[in-house]
Amino acid sequence: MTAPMTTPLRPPEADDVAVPERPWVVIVWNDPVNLMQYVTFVFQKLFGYPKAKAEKLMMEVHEEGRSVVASGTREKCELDVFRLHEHGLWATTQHDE
Amino acid sequence: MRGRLVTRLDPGRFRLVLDDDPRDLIESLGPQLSDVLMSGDSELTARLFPPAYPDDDEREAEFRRLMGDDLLAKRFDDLDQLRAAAESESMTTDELESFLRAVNSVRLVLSSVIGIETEEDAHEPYELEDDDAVPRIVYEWLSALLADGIWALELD
Repeated sequence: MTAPMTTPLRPPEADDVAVPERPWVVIVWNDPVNLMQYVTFVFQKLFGYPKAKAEKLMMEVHEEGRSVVASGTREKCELDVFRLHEHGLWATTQHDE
Repeated sequence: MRGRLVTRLDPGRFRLVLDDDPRDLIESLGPQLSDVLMSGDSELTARLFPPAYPDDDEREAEFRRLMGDDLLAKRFDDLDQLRAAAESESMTTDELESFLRAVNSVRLVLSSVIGIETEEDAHEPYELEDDDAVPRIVYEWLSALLADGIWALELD
């Protein structure tokens, strides 16, 4: 009598494993109009950052030309960009580099 | 000494320390900003509706489709505060924040009128006879108003 045929264990396919979405980041860009204290205030208000952190991010925008101020899913980052635009700041979103 | 243009009366209650003429100016900015928003003049409104995805036309179009109307609506809500603030004796925290967003929106439009592209442009000296003297004077005054508004909010 021959042994019953058994299906070999199927190795997991790459797309069976849940791949977490690469995080997105929110970038605020420097501009010649917005006041430094206003930008600091907006970061505190929108993201709940303590003043020291908000100031540090603001100074990065001012001195480096841009800063990553938040991250998350694309949907969350788009909403952050919307709220920043509402306050007159220039923000964009992209995949984390 | 020059006093602050915005003070805090009580926690959560603020006042514009302005005489009638500056109040009239503030009030006049509302309809002007409204006209600019309605005109669809992309040069004047570019800074009010910047791109979210500068390198991805498809995502940008989707963002504008989903969020564009809301952003415009919020700008109109905020500019209502220009008249409300000019006419009232006091404002709540939310009203002051809305007012300051509107003031900042006017500054962003004025920066396009004046042609402020760099920080040096913002500090360029001008004569009172220059064509852009009036927008520059208003821009600088609104900057002081915004700064004093932030100062008052931080007292809370």
